[in-house]
Amino acid sequence: MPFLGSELLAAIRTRNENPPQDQAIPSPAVSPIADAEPEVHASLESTPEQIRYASALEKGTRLGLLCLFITFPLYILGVIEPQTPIEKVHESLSLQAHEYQAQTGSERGWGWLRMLRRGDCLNFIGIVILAGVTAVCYIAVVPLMFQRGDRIYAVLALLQVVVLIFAASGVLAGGH
Amino acid sequence: MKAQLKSASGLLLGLLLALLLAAPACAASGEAAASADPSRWWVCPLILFVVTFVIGILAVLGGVGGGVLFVPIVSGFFPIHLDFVRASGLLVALSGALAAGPGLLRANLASLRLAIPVGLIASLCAIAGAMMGLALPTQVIQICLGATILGICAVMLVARKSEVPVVPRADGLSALLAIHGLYREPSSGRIVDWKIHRTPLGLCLFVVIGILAGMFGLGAGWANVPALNLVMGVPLKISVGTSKFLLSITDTSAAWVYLNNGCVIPLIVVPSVVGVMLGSLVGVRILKSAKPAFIRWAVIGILAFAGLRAIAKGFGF
Repeated sequence: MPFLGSELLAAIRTRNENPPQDQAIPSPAVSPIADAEPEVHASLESTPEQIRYASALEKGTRLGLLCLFITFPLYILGVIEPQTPIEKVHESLSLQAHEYQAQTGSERGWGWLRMLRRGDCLNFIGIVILAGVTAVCYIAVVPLMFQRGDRIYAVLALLQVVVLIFAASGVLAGGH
Repeated sequence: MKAQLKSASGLLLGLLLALLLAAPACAASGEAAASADPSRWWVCPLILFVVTFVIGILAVLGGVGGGVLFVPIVSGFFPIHLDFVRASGLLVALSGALAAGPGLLRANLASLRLAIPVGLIASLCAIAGAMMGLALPTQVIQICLGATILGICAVMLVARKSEVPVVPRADGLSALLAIHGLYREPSSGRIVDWKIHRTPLGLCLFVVIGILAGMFGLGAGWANVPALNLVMGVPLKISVGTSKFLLSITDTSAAWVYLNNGCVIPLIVVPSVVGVMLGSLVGVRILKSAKPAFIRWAVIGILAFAGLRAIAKGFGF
């Protein structure tokens, strides 16, 4: 859905050019930092890392949403039989997550991977792509950071990947 | 034109309120019908889609994220357990952030250098928040959610914004991390060389923001922008863009916790994500023309109502 991003940008520009009355805060006539000489490595343009990150993010988001748009109709129209009948899902929505799982026999964690022939489990492909694309974007920019000698940020980005993989691993069990 | 917009916005608000009042009854009748007539399962997702579509429009016009409206409204007025609502709320906020992220990064309206350290702290805390949220009793979470929503209303009422905050000197940490940039203010055409200060304090605030985001599935744009803009001195436009992008990092971490605990149900998530996204598109088109000022007040009113409803529900009323 890259169009949503461009629409949002256009709207931000419009709002800044014509700020609504209730939020219009006058900018200082001369910002104390506005006239400062820009630092050599600062630029109005996006950095190569941002461009690469944006490109990976756009592709991943498109893919995830496309998967959802394909698999959800297959599920709700009954083209592919679900693991849990939709009627049973609907009846159990007011239950806590663990009660829901006990009642419907649905899988938790990565268990859906074993049921990819089922219509409801297929939807998790798109959801997992959307949840996983951020880690992929970070991995994509780390080499650029090392190339530019930006070691601190490369390490921070790798730490973020570790955190996301840790969260995705299913090690962090919760529940009431 | 403005009068037309005002009446259209009023119609939208009326529609949302009508749907909110009708939702429990419709859903209850849907449940009853489902046991007798299983073919009626589609009633609840359909109502959810319509409500989230209206939420998407109002969120853009009200200057808030979809998640912050989605969670209190759906948990308060739909017979869907808070576990599933919070997971869906995170995915709603995440989808919006993912969709907007590429454009914001390319236009340099979101700063990756700013988002990486902040996102690391916020995402770690969002994981902790999600685990706490899943471990605590539902009633406690419901009451805390209501209190948080009322707090958000207060923040929306009192927080001021600064287009280009005065930052006399970058602090040591932000200088070490080289968090700064250039930004062209379109209203004046002036190029602003921005830098930030109070970075340690800002990062501490993101500990709290991350926990709240993970615990309640709210997204966190309502808190990100004041923290970046007013505390750390990031120009408003960069704060808004970076905040939106930051949600894609913070909410991803918490979403994985909910996903792995079986709280993500496609029958709820997909209509909600699609509804809010389509509504946002319509909202952005309306926003391009004008922004009825009263919408923000109406959104605060709806949030306050939903917050009180969450507290009442938490106490068993």
